[in-house]
Amino acid sequence: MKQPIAKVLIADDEQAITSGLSAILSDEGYEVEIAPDGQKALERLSEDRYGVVLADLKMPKLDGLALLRELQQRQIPTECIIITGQATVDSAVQAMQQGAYDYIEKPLNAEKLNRLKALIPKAIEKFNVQQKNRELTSRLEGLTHYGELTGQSDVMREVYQVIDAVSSSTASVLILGESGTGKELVARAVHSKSERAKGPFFALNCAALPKEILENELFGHEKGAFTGSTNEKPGAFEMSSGGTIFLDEVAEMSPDIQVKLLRALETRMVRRLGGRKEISVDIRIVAATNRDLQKALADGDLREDLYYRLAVVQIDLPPLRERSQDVTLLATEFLHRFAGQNNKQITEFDTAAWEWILSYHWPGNVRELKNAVERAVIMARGSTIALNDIMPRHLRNSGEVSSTVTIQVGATVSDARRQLVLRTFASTGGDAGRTAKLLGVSVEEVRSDLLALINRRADDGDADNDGPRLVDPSPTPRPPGAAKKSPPNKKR
Amino acid sequence: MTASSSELDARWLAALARLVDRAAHELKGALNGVSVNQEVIRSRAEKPNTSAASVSSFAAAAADQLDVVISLTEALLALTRRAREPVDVGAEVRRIAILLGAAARSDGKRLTVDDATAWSSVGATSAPGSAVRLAICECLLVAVEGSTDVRCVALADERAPGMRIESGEGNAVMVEPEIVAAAADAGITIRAEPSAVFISFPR
Repeated sequence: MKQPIAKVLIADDEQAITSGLSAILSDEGYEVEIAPDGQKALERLSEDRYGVVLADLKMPKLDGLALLRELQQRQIPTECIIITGQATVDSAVQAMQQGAYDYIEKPLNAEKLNRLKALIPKAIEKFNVQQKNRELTSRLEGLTHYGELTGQSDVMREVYQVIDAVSSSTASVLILGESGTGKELVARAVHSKSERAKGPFFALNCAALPKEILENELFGHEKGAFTGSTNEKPGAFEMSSGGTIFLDEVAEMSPDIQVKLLRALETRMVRRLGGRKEISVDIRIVAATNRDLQKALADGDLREDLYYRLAVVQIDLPPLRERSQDVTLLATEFLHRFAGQNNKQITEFDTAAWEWILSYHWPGNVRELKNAVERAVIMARGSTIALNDIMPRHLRNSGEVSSTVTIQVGATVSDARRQLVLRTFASTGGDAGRTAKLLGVSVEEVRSDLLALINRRADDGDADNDGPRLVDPSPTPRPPGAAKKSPPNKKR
Repeated sequence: MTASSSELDARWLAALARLVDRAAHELKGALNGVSVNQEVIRSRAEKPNTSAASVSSFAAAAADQLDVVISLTEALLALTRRAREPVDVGAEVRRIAILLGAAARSDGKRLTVDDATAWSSVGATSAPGSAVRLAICECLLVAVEGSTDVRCVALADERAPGMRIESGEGNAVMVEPEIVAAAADAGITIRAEPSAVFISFPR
């Protein structure tokens, strides 16, 4: 079947060959153009998009291999088939190493022309797939959201790319990630981007259900299968046929259910508890675990054969501490979402709140951030979320916040001092007096250091931060978040 | 066969191998032209309502390419046979130029041989065939490698018939001293000048 983009460029100086070859390929339905030498071919390829270029190895001005090199160096997208009258192992290897799709030896008799006719659609298909990938990559570069997932960090864009690539297949997917990283959202994205999107999405937490109930949930039961089973009940496999089952915490599943799951995956058939009949199911499995997979396999908690069945494609979901670029985006989004849900006119976090949000390591990941922002929105009294609103009570005086200060080698002494003042100030919940006491300096010095640090960050500024500079409004310590509300620059 | 003629034969065969190597691509190219154009005719002939006009240009192209195959093959076959003595200088120049010229065209170069009538006045030489072919072939190969435009001109002289290979201003034709010496043993003089090389053959 011809692909939509089917433009072919013939680069050869022999007019008797190019006109004949052009006629053959035009008869096959391709749009064919001719370049009489390598240089002209390069010019055409730079100006227009060709799925395939058929290049003679020996051409005036720029030979086939030199043309290939130029295509690679200039990153011109096309698939190159080298046609050579001098087929040696060396030239063939060289052509393939330089990225040629294939090569064909002259003379192009009927057999070789048939081979060429078979090669071109495959080369065009490869070109189209790569073209789609290039477009996707370029689209993802500006993307902050994907399905229900939020994030614009490189690691998340890689996750989006894998989801995009895998969604069109029926391959099983295993999602690895700490608790709260959004594994179910990834599973939902895989489902919603796939051709199964119109089918059901069935999520089951294998750790939350006792063994018998989990088995019943997965496979269903016949009437009278066990005491109290007065009616037959289809299981998740049957109910989600044509769709996707998401099995969260799959490593917590008992070994005998793992065996049944493996069988269901291999045969695409299930049998209800107490049933005799094999029921055919059309499902895709997306599984997830927060366990250390190597340890789970070594300990025998997860069967190796099941692991290989489930992990046809593996998606590693990064913890929030490894995607610090996304924290501002997520916190802002949660703020607007929960303010709307709670009918509150809260528009921003104050500076101290931002400092804490960006310095905290979020062991509970996105879920913890989401819950913290929701709680802060509910607790906040004004239009701004302050440090005390967002910071959990148990952390306020525990020293867990900013208990360490990382100073880059080469930082100035005043920078180091300001960082120490800021961290101590955050750890005291914004108490300048206590900060001064802990550090053995005056309250004025604490205030001066904080103002200097915040003003400098405003100057370094992110592009969106055009807010007013902070000035010292009063001789007394100001509660955190009293003035500046934009997220401070994350650079440490 | 003397030792020197055996040495001449060996040198000529080595030169011929280089010539064949260069011409092989052109021969395959011409065969390619024949088969590709034949394939157009064959595939279109299978379709209903194909007019002769729609394939005539491809038939002409196939015939032209077949002529190229024939001329290359004939030149090659003639050069692989022992030269008939006395050697016809013009015929040898044309054969070598056919093989070398085709390869030169692929490199974007041009090799021309002046009109055939002039070569008939050069006539034959008493030098051994291998020596005549070696001198012409080596000089032409060097000229073509060093220049984009090479021209073979016939020089008729009653005492020493010969030829001039013009390679353009500043393109010296530097022939290997061993070749010049081997040719000299057979009475052939090779004289290089800044933009040309002269070859004179014994009558």
